[in-house]
Amino acid sequence: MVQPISPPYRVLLVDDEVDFTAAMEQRLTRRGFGIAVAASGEQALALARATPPDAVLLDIRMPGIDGLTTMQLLQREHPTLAVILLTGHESVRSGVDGMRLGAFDYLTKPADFEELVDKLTAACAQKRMLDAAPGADASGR
Amino acid sequence: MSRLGAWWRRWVGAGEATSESAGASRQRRPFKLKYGYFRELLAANDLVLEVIAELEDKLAGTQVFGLETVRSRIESASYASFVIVKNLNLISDGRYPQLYDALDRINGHVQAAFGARRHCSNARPVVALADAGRDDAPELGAKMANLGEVRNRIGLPVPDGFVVTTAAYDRLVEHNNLADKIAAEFARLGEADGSLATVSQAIRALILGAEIPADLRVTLQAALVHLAARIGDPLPGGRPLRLAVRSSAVGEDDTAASSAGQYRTLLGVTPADLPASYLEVVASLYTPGAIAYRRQRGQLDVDTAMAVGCVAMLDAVAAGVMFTRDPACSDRPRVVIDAVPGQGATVVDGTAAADHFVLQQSDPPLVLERHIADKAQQRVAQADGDLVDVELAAERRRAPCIDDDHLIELARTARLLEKHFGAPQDAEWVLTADGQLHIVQSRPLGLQRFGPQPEPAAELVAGFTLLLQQGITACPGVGAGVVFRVEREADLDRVPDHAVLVARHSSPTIARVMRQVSAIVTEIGSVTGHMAIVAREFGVPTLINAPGALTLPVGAAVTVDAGRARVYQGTIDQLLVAAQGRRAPMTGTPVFHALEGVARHLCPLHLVDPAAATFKPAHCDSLHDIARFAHEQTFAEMFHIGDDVKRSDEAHGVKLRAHLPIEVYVFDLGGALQPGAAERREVGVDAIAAVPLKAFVDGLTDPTIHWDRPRPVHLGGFLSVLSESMVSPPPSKYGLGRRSFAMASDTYLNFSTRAGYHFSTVDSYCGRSVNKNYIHFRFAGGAASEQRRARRARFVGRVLERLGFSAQAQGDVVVARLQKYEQDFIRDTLTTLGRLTMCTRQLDMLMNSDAAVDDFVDGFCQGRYELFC
Repeated sequence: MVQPISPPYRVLLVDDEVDFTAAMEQRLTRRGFGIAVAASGEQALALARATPPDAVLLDIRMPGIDGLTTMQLLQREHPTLAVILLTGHESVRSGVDGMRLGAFDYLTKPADFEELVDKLTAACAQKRMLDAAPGADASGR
Repeated sequence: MSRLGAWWRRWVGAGEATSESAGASRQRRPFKLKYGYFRELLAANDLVLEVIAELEDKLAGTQVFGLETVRSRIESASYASFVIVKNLNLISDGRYPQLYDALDRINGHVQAAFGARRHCSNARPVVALADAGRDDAPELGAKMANLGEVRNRIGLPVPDGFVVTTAAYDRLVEHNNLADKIAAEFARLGEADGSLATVSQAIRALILGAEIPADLRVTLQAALVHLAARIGDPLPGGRPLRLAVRSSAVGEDDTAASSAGQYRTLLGVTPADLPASYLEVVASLYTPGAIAYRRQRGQLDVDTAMAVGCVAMLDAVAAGVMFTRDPACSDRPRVVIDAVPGQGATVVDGTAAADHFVLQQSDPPLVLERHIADKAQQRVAQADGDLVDVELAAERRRAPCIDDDHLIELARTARLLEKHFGAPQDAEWVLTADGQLHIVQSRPLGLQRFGPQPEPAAELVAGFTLLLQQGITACPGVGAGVVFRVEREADLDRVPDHAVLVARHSSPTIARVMRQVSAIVTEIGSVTGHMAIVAREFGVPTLINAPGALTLPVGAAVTVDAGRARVYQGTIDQLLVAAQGRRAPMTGTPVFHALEGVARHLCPLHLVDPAAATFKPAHCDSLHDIARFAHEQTFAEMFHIGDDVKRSDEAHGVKLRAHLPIEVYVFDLGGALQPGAAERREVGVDAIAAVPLKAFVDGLTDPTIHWDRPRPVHLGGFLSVLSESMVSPPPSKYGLGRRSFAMASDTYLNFSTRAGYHFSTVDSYCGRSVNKNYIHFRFAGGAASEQRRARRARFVGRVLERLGFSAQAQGDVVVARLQKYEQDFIRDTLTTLGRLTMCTRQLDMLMNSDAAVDDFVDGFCQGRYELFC
């Protein structure tokens, strides 16, 4: 089901597992999302600055800046951005931290693709709604 | 509160929201997502409760288990608790941030309870025996620490040597990343390809293939050079230096767990072979016997480490074992000595007959008994140092291999050892050609675990055939079972529970089945051997040196009276009374302690009453509390969603008008209700369009179930529910629980019912595709006594099984599933589940005996629903 949304929802995929992001990019593109891919937190910050995404799918464990830190840095620059955290290792610790820091959701790999599409759609819709809402600005956080 | 947040709150209208700061998660999710969160939450809740039920089973202490299975289940439950907390917050738009605090706190306790590991502060990789003492046990293992004590504090002759410490072990493990690899192997235990033997094999291969770090290699080499410099190589007699390389595991040889003979000792090792021999002894930490032994004893694998003693071999003319007390009569001061000619390994592994002496600990000691064995062979060192078994000259075969002077000297040594260590000892000794006695090992005998002493020769039990009446009591007691003969180690995998194990000679490998056998009889063996020690530790009646053991009829039931050295045909109940209660349970073991420590943060339910002021996140002290609290709030939140979404076109709850003791709200996910009905506040049963919902409601409202009729009060049941009135149909005392929710679509139903005090959830897909169709049913709760709840769970479980479910009852929780059936069958079964839900409403009131369970099962299945009203 292709999203009849204009402009299409933009999702930034951040993961050092290149195979994962490549497969995900292909599948999500087919579902009507505009996809950008970053292999590290540093790269994600640069890409988001160039073209702000509506939502980010972000791996927790990465070399360099880790996922949680990347999320905080992204949120500082893009306060309405929705971040969905992904983890390969079930961890209560990082889950609690991630949700407290304002993640849109925290998922374990492999995530059910249809659920992921629903969640990304909702995350993007939220960002668009917040951006359109009166009084929403970067200084609020 | 930021401007954004304030705006958001206004927009959502969540004025009653309870707290600050859930960040961006305090945002409204679409109903469809929330429904998904709701389902995830329910699944996570089920998992948490399942794990809790499993832990409570294990806390009974009767089943043997390893900690890593428990650990992985607990980690799953912890993560499921996180999913519960997260999803409740997502469903409720971030209304319960304090639940994260509670989870954080409890999870911290859980991690801490698991985190207590072996700690060794001293980092010396090698310690000379001359510097060792009892206090060094964490570093040197108890065996070598004690040997140092014998040498340096008691001042007895002990061969020179050094110990490769647990610090070296840690270094080896770290250098080769063994901890993760071993854990990965253990994770396979219990899976299809993970027999104890294959896992053990794989782990030992890992260790044997490990690389000894260069610094450790250099240290070992230096220690060897120092040893050779001290005692000479070749030795003064001309023979080259050879080593006894002995296991000295942490936890080995402490009083509670002797782990006798589970680890390797290598004799006659050349200095050049030391690195390989070191790895071989370390690997023996993970023999099937050693793993099984730690399991049976409830020892933690993470607490285990192997120190290795490297001691100069002595030129033994005789060697053996000495017990400073006779285990058969520990109240009297008697010393038991077993001796063989040559090197002593054959005594402890039970492969050769040994001379057996009992001495009275008088001054001077007195030899009371001597049993001289026919000793065919002895193990001796050749000129090059290699050990070989040689025939014994005819005149020496039946001669004692140790003279009385040395026996008396040993008895005196026994007194010194016992006095110094403050407890009876099990010591290994060596007699060298120069007439000098040496102690090569001393460890506590562990007499405290001995059962009652055998009565003096009682009369034979009349009416039973005596099959065997000879042998030495290694552990007194009576055991009965079917005879199983063990001829090779592989046979141990097939030992049936409660068997009477017979073998040609005693063997330490038998220890691994110690917990499952009723008795042991062997033709050869020694009371001072490893198997006998372990048998006593586990209280398994054991008879050794019993000629004719192998003639016992395989597959036939026999009764072994080990204390009186008799084996009878058949099972003799009167004798078995003595054997009762001998099995040491898991209780008191380190694994059990660890489990108790963790379970405290999982199992207890403190938040029992949703109406209480303490029903709050801050009062959650266990994962059970979190699950309970979140579960209650989730249904409240799902109910609120109905209010919240009224102005939108999302689905919301519609009250079902029906003659029922519960209020049913339907959440239409598509096609559950007739067109237009979803917009109404309340609809009749005729508005239901979906097959599964209609089927279940048909069952609930079956007119032959008169739930509203006053019921006779059974006093016992009445009292067990304590203060609640049960005489008339339920009053409105059920709080939130009285609302039941049906999340339904045309083919899907999730129906959560609180009826009476029971909570049941039906989750079902009921469509045209047979492969998708299923029913999951979960039944829990209940206010009556534990016994009645358990009976009720049995009732539900049996009914479900008759309906074709595979059902599991754990405690008072029943989980059942059925899948891949035709739609009609699923539909009819849902109707029956509706009836069952009504019939079990207060069933535990009526469950006043076990027989009642069967009556109710039959009654229900025959449709006699009046029984339940």
